[in-house]
Amino acid sequence: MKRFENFVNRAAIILNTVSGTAMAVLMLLITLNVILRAVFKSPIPGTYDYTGFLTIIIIGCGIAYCSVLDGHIELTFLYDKLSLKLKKIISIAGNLFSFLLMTLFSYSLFSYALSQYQTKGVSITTKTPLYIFSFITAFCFVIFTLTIMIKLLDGIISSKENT
Amino acid sequence: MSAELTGLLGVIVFLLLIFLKIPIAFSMMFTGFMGFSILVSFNASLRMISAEMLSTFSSYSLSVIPMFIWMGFIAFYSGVGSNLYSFAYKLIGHRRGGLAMATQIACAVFGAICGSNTATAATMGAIALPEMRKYNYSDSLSSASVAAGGALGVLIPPSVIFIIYGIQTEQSIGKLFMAGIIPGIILMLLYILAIHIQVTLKPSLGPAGIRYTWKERLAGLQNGLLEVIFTFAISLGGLFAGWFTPTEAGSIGTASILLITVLRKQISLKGIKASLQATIKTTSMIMLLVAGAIIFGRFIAVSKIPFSLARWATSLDIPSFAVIILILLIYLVLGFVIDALALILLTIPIFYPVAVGILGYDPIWFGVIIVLVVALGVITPPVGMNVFIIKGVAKDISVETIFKGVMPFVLALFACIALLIIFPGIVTYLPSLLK
Repeated sequence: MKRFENFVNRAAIILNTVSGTAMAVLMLLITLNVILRAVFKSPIPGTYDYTGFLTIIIIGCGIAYCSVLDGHIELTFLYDKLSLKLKKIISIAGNLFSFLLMTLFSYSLFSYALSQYQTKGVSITTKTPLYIFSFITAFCFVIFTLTIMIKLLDGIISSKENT
Repeated sequence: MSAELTGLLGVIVFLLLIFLKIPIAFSMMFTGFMGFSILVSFNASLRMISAEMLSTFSSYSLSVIPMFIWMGFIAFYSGVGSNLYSFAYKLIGHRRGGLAMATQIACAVFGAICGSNTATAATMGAIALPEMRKYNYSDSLSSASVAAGGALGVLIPPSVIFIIYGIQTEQSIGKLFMAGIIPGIILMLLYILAIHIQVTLKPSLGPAGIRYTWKERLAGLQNGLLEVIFTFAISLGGLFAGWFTPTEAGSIGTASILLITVLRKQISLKGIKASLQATIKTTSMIMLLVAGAIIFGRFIAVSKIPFSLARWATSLDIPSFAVIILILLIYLVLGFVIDALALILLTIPIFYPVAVGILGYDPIWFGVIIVLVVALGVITPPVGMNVFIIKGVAKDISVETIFKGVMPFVLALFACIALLIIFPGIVTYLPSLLK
């Protein structure tokens, strides 16, 4: 279990680094495009497309580590008032629910990426195949789903240990 | 079962899920997915979520969000907030309640480069609270003034909530940013008035601090204010002038503040990495919420709830003003329990067509008003986000003390909302100057 957890966390951290790099590249690309457009009247062709691609990498690669850091907004004011036992039950049920939902969404994203691959969809300006980014997002969602799975397993193990 | 009833049940299921601590984004996605499956088909719903998610994540217009968030986090990690507070503190810190008033000024100016109310509250909480406590300010006034001041970040551009509202309603982000300036300044002045009244009635709440010479005060201009003026002028100036798109304005702003803080040795490589990390975390959280809201919005659209609501609103034998007050009351109540950003994302598809499409209210005015109403939620119980941030900074101050201290600021917020309702020109004047 520990090895699996380490593997998933490591994958989430690597994706997070990719996301940070994409963020810096995006900022530099847009700034450079504005400067070139304003000063030399010669913008970088395809900046619009590249912005979309980089944004998808920033978000797709960032969601797994955001989950590791418990970064998604939850309402806890009712939950906080519950007994410890009920909290554990709700937490496990919630993580199971989230895990199943994200498994379905990951599958759906892979199917969508596959259909894009088959139809050979490309971006408007740079003619870059769109399926590449759809597959990247689908893969990131799998890692994201695994982070939820670890929370679910942790919850089950800790409740078993307490009983 | 009718489409409207399915929609209503969907809303109930959504509320049930969020109260069971399921992340709000997941709850919206699930409800939207299930509802769309019932009203259209399972396969169409499965395809819809993938298409919506991918188009949201790769959207050029939404790429503005990480840019402005990063700009704010660079300001946060470079200590710009600390310099700003020092300047405001030297300016009016010698007056009774002056440190709390200085906090409001610093929050408003910091808000001009930071689009997040939580980042503003966290920055000022770490800087202003220790100073106020050093000068024997009461716990309730010191903590509440920082929590309330953070809400100024929602109104003063750039504001992430305005960006989201603008994208959802297809309104100009530049105009929304412009519209937030005067209400933001008015709210800051009302906060200062609220502090003045409190310390006049009970001077022990905020004793006077040290008086500085004008030379010392003006020296503060070089630190903190310079970065803000430079970044604001280049980034938002270019946006207002029509030179940049919002995404470009965010990017130029980020590059500017990064450049100036690196050149002035205010931020280290570690600080830049930390700002990137915080940006990715916040962006991922927001974008998943946006994707969830879009999926939920598709379901709400096919359920015909907005159409039925609009039909009902027009059939009511009451003036349109009363309907808008009713809508604001709904926002107020929901704002007490639902996060501001999530609430805007969730309710805009429902109420915007009624308020703007049917009742004919100005979309920019409506945006500013609802942003102000939901801003109340960040400082009111039970889920006042800013209050919990301040509690995290000052662990020995109880949440009850902060909530108690926040009440005069809540009244100031109500006064601001009332002013904008009575005099809508306060909101619409500046945007009307834009081409």
